[in-house]
Amino acid sequence: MTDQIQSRVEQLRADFDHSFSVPARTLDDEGIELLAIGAGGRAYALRLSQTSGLYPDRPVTPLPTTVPALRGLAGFAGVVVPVYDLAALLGHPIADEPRWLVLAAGAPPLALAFHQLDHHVRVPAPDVVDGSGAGTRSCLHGMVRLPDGDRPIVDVPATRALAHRMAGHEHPEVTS
Amino acid sequence: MGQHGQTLAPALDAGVLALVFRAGPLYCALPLDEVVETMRPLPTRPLAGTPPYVRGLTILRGEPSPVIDVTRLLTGTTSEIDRYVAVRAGRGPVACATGPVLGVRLVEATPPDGPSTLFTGASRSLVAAVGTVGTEPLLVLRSIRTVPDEVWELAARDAVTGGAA
Repeated sequence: MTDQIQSRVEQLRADFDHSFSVPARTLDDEGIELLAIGAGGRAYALRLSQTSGLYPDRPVTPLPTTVPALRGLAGFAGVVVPVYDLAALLGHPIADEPRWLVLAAGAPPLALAFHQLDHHVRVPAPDVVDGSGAGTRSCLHGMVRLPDGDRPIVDVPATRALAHRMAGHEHPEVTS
Repeated sequence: MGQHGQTLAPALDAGVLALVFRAGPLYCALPLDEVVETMRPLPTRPLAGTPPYVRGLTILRGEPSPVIDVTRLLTGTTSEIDRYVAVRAGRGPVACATGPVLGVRLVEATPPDGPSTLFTGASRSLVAAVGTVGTEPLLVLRSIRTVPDEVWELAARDAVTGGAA
């Protein structure tokens, strides 16, 4: 065993022994994982548990449609998924082309396009203020306190429901 | 004669599941439901004015805890400390300083009659029964009740003042 490895082994052993002196830590299962995003020039957050994939620069095929928020179709693992503009669904004017697509968890399949991915964060549950949206049509459920400021949380199932209402049809929600 | 580190054959009779270890020349066992964990010896601060079998205070999982030298308590002699065994006691966890931990096995625990009546004082309150490991005596210990109140008070004071590592 080289001196470097021996030193490393001794350090690991010392760290292990010291761990018995520090207070026991419980697994933090109260943390909530979020994606901090920007849509329509505003800061929002998405619950990671309500998503099933994040994709940059995904080609979207436009469709002739009367629904302004529907950007078109994109393929995910052989499945064609409608892509809606999150900024439009949130009531912001549609500006430049969104770069990011997030795949909604559950069914029916749906992707949301947004402009900016700020970061992925895990926050303690108390930092998330739950709340129903301001009205039945609202996609925003609650707020999260982040170091760069408070952000409204976009509820993905509610956003899917809104998109389907805009498209003139309803689907039973299947959340994962 | 048992050897350090030897594999212990399971007892034939159903008994108490216990952690078996050496304490100097003795084989000892602690009921497993009283054992929290085992570890290599941690830094321990001696305490003046306590019985010889109290090695001092250590920090277990953030809590100042008394350290009992089991060999010193049972035999009056000292021997090399190989492990600390954290056990649940009435007023908090206690670290038992022991020789090598040999493993977990079923031990036959009999009422504290016969040889165990030879023990007096602190050791008597600790020894629940005497069994055997092969041809060697095995002391089955019970809940640690041998920590003097003043040690617990010092530990509590240590907790309030931030303790020593």
